This record gives sequence, structure tokens and C-alpha cells, in this order.
Amino acid sequence: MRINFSISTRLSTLIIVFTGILFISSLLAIFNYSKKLIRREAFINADILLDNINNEADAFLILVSLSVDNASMAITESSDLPPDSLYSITRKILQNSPNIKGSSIAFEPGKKKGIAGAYAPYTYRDGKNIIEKELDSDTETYTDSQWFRQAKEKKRGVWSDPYFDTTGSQEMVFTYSRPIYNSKNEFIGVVTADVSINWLCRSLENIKPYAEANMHIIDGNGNLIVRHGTTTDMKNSPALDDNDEPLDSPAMAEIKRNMTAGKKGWAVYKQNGKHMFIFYQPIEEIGWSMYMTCPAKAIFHEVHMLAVWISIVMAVALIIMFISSYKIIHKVLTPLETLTSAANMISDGNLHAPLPSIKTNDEIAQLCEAFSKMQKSLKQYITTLKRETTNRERIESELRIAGKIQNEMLPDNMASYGGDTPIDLYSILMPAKEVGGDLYDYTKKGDTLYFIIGDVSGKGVPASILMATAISLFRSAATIYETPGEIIKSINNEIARRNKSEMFITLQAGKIELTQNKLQICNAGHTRPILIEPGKTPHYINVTPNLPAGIIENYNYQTDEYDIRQGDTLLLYTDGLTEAEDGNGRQIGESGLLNMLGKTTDIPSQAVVLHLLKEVRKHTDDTERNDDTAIIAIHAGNTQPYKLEIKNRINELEKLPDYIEQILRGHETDADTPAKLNLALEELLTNTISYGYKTKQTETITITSHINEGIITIQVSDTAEKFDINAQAPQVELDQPVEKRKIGGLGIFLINKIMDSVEYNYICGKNTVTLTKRLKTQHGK
Amino acid sequence: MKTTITNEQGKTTVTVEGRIDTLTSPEFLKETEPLTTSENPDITIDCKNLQYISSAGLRALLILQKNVKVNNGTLILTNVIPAIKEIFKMTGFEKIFTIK
Repeated sequence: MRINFSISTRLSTLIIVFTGILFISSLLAIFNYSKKLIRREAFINADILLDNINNEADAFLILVSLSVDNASMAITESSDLPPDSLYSITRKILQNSPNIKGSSIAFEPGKKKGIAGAYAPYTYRDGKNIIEKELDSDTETYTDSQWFRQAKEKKRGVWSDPYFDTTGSQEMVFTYSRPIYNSKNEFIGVVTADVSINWLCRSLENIKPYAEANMHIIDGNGNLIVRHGTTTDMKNSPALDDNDEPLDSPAMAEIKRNMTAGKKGWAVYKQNGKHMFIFYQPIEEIGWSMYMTCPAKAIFHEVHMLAVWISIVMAVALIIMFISSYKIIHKVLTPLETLTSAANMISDGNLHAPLPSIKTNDEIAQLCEAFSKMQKSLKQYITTLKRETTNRERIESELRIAGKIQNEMLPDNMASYGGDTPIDLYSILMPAKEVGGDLYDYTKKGDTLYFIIGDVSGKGVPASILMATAISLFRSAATIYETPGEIIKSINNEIARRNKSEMFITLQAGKIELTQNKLQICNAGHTRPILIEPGKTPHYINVTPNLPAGIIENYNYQTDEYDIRQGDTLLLYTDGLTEAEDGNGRQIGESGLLNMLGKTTDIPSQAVVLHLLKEVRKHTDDTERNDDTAIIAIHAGNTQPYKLEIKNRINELEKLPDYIEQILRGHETDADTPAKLNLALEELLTNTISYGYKTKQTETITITSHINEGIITIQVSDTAEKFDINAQAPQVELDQPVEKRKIGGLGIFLINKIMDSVEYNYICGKNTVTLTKRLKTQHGK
Repeated sequence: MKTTITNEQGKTTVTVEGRIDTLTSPEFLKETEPLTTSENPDITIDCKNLQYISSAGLRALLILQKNVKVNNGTLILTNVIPAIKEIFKMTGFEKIFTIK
């Protein structure tokens, strides 16, 4: 699930992120563009609006000024008008529009015929009534009023600044006044019309394009006349909020200047953090400027709402898209899940993991295909491997059995014969592989001992078959023939006749008459034997070199004769011995072999061979043996090894003390030597008996000992499991405190401590341990 | 192999005769091990008639020594003959046992 989770999520996330970015950027672009369009629309609208108002205002103002102008001209033409006519003129002016709140004809004091001082008939509206009255010259000197003075000074019609009309309509008004001249062109007074500002407010309020917009008017001096649609007269205006007067801020100074200069335009500004628009236009007729302020939000309100709605829809769409793409991808990738668990199952050893079936023809299907192919070949491979391993194991076990059979074919590697010339014989066979091509054999016929040693060309299974043949041929030949030459001749004929594979055997056969000191040898291409005479250096015997067996049928083999004396040892061997290499590839060689044998005095054959083995091991230093090796030593003399055979049971160890006593009888030893030898042997045998045997079968352990020149050599051979006492024994820590000392491992340690040397060989299927110890040490004990 | 066990005022004396070897060490251990499992054992093994000991015997003595130490007791070997002393020396056991 984890893999799918991340791919589906990743892909889906990527898709909606990408799409989202596209959406958002398009939305922003459209949004901005819309805003631009709307702003333009708003400008145009505001423009049109203000234009309309402007036109209306202009129209009205012109109307007012015209009517006043007309009236002024009428008065000019007939300067001596009765009051009634004057009032009717003012009334006529008033009647031009309900927004004209008052009208008067104000004479320059003294200029009205028949009146000394000021005279100003004044008509004004009071609600629905029109009231006539004279402007009191006592209470107000209208001659000081702006509307009078300005007209007088400027000599034309002028519009005044707004003021509160206390005398008449009680409103904010402004006045148009036109000077009157008599026939002599003297200034005699002004005609006025008062216009209410409220009219302007109402117009403004009616045409607001946005509810949040605010209409304002400033006069030519920059004073605010109309604010938020109401007049700013002292009595009525609401409290001035600093927040509401944008024009007062220094940033807006330029705009204010523009307005008072009669310009038209728009600007954007910020008030209380809100974006605001301002549109302004002059009311040219009277030199005022009107402007509309509007929060940007109001203008863009709808666009914003639209954006919000689109965003919501978009978000929902993205979520839906995410979910569906996730599900789709997940579905497509489900087979991967199955593949993963199949792969896991296969790696755990179950090759029959089920694979998903895919109907589509896409990459995943191809992966499944490939996977399935791989699974099949794995199965095949493993089956083949299993089969071949089984085969190999079978062959190996058969080889092992063959090796055992070979061993069992051979006679005991130790023999001794009594009589006038006691003979003892010791032989060893060490194949390079499980089975080998070297052989030895011996057999007694009456008082004669026949022996043979041989080396089949090659090694391994083929050589071993020929070796077995040769041994059985020797045994039957020995019963029939007398001399070694005849024996070899018969063996040769048998083998040469059927020898198609070009194998041959080197052989050396011999015969010793036990009652006489006669030795016969026939050499068939083999290494010469060595004679070890007491007190002399060992040397090779000259023999007739006959052909190896198996080459030419009917070859005549020569037999040679020698004398053999008491104490002599005859050593036969195969070239695996002399060709044994050390770590640098140097072979022992014939002279090396002679050196190893040294000057050995009259010692049993076993001793000779064991000594030789020790020397060879020193040379090879455990380098792999690469050729089969066989050795036979035959010793004439009466130093016999003492032999003890025991069964592999602990209680047999009782025999040890007597055996040791028997061996040591007549020899000088240290006082504790018997006990120590006892201990060493007991430890060795206890070990073997307790741990060496897999089955409960009774088997024999052979102990042979001999003493030579003050040194005792004890050899123990057993048929237990192969165990190299020198290689595999556990370590013993002497200095550990009580808690840490292990209970085991002491036995082998003691053996090594007690004995001078401990040698191990695996000879002819038996563990062979050779212990030596000097019987009497110099200081003695 | 023969063991004789005497107890005097909480002190135990084991007199061992003959050989403690592979054959006899099981019996030796069977007789002596229960002595080591009580609280604060105080054991003396008289070895004057012990003629021979093999690694099996050493093993048995080691087990006794370990048990005695765990239970805060003492184990003393007395009258050990030189041949056996030498075996103790060879194996480093002279450092483990208290030999008098």
C-alpha cells in the first residue's frame, strides 16, 4: 500500500498544484483586467454623471442670470419705477424657478428717485408663501454685502460666495447680482437673485452611482459647501470628522488646487487604509467644483464577489480532481502492489507466488510479463540446481563409501610375526582424495611373508579401480607363485591384456622367509627401497629396474636376492612421499628422505614410520597433499611394541595402570612418570570414548607403545569420528578466577602439558595420536 | 574411591581415598555436592589418601569450589601429595583452591 500511496498522492498533488497554478494565474489576470475595465466604466459613468449635473446646474444658473440680466435691463430703461413694479419684477424673477429663493432690487442709497438713503425691495419664499419686504437699511447695510459690492465693482453680473440667508429663506444660498445703470450710465443699484444650495444637494443625491459614494462641492476658495449631500451651514451640518475630509490632507493639496482652478479629473487615494477614488468637475458658471468620493471596494464590489465565487468553485473542482486522479492512478498501480508482495514471497523462498493478471497492454502489463518470465526461469534454475546438488552429494557420498571400502580391503596396517626372526611390519596409506591409486598389501603363506607396494598412474576413482584389481591379483598370485618376479609377471599379464586405457602400475613386491634371513625383491618401475641398518646411514638398495606392470604382456620380471639381518629395517614407499612439497614448492627428494631417516637404531617399524611422518610434516607444514602416499616398513628384530586393545567404554580404562606398569618394567623413570603417563592416556581415552563415537556400537581402540633410548612412544588409534586433537581443542584460561573458569577443556590441556610431543595423523580411516615423553629428566624427581 | 564425611560443630571434613578419575568422579560429586549448597558451608577435604586425580576430578573440585563461593563458605584441601599438587600447578588450579 505504501508504494501506491506515494505515487498516487505525488502525481495527484502535482496535477492539482499545476492546475491550481494555472487556474490562479488565469484568474488573477482576468481579475485584473476586469478591474481595469470596471474602473474605466466607473470613470466614464462618473464623468457622465458629473457632466449631467454640471449641465443641469449650468442650465439653471444661466436661467437665473439671464432673468436677472433681463430685469436689470428693464430697470435701466425705465429708472423711475414705482415700488409695485419693482416688486413685480422681483416676483417675476422668483417665479422663474422654485429654487430661486429670493430676489431684490437694491438701490445705491440716494439713487432712487424720491428716496433718500437705501431702498431695497425684496421678495422671498417662505415655505409656500412669497413674501415681500424691504431690506432694512438699519439692521443691515446691504451696501456692504458681497453681492452688492462685487456687482458694483465689477460692473457686471457676478455670483457671490455661499452664505446663510438670515433675512429671507433661512437657508444656505448664493446670489447672482447684476448692476443697474441709469441713462447717464451711473450705477444706481443691483438686481439680485438668491439661489438655494439645497437644490444642488438634491440633484446630487439623486444620481449617486454607488450607494457608498459621496458627493461634495467646494466653492472657488476651496471651502466645502456641500458634504455628503448636505450643506455645510453652521446650523445643520453634522459634526465634521477628520476622517471624512480627504481634501484637507497635504497629499490631496494638488487635487484641491486643480479643483479650484476649474479643472476636471480623477485620482486614487487612501483614507483610513481604504482605497478611494475621487472624481471632480468644475461648475464653471459659478467657479465651484463638485467631486465624488467613492471607496474602491464599492466600485469593485461585484468583481470581488465574482472572484470569491470562482475561487470557491475552483477549490472544489481541484479537490474533486485530486480525489479522482488519486483513485484512478491508484487503480492503475494496484498490480504493482501484487508484484511487490510476489517479489517478497519469492525472496522468502516461495517460488509459486501468484502474479496479477493485467488486461491492458501498458508498461505495467509488460512489467508483469517480464516478472512472470523471471519467476519461471528462477523456478527452472532452482530445480536444476537442486538436482545437480543432489547428484553431487550422491557422488560424494559414494566416493566416501568407496574410500571406506578401499580401507577395508587393506589388511591391518600393523603386523608382527614371531619365530627365530621376529618381524614387525607397519604400513600407512594416505590417498590424496577420497579414493587413491597407491596400494600396499601383505600376506603370509606358511613361513613366508609376501608384501607388495604399488602406485597406479593417476589418482582418484580410475586409479582406485585398478588399485583394487592389483591387490586381488596379488593375493591370488601369492598363493600360486613362489618368487616376487613371478607374482608381478602374473599381475602384469592380467592387467596388460585388458589395458585399453593406457594405465599402468609401478609395483614392488617382496618376500621374506621368516626362518631364514633371506629377502627377495622384484621392482617393476617403482622407487627403490631403502635399507636401514643399525649404526649405519640408511641407503637405497640396487634393484633390477623392470618395466611397470600393465605395459607389455609376457614381460619377464627379474627377482633380486638380499640378506637381511637382525635389526635391519626395510622401507618401501611411493613417490608421493619424496614429492611432498613445502610452502615454496620444494620437494623432499630422495636425499631429503634419507636425511629424515637419519641413523635410526633398531626400533620397531612403527617407530620408524611415525618418526618419518613427523619429519615430513615439519617439511610440508600442512601444505595440501597432492599425490597418494604409501609407506611400508618391515623390521627384523625383537623390539616389539606393547599392544593393548580396549573397547570404547569408560570402564575399560581400568586396564591402563597395569599396561603402563608392564611397559615401564625394567626402565628408569622419574618417580611421577607412571602416574603422569596414566593421566595423559586416561584424558585422551576419556575424550575419545565420551565424545568420539556417533553410535553406541562397540569399537576397538588400539594402544601400542615402545621405548627407545629413554623415550616412550605411545600410539593410540581409534575408529571414532575424525578429530584432530591439535587443531580443534578448546582454549583453557589458566589465570581466570573461580567464577570464570570453564568446566571443560582441561583434558587435552593436561595431555599437552604432560607429554613432550603430541602428534595427530589420520591414517587409513583411523585417528592416530602419537605421544612421546622422555622417561627420565635430567634433574630427576 | 571412598569418601568419609564427618561433621563437627558446623565444620565438615571429607576424607577421600583412592582415585578421582573419569570413573569415580560422578560418585565423588554425588556425595560431596550436597554439602556445598547450605548456608555458609565450612568444608575441609583431607587428601592424604588421594593417590590420583584426572581432569574429571578437577572438574568435580571446581564445581564444589564455585558452589561454596556462591554460598559464602570456605573449602580447604589438606595433605595433598606432591604429584597432585603438581597437577594443580600445571592447570592453574592452585590459585583457585585453598591448599594447606
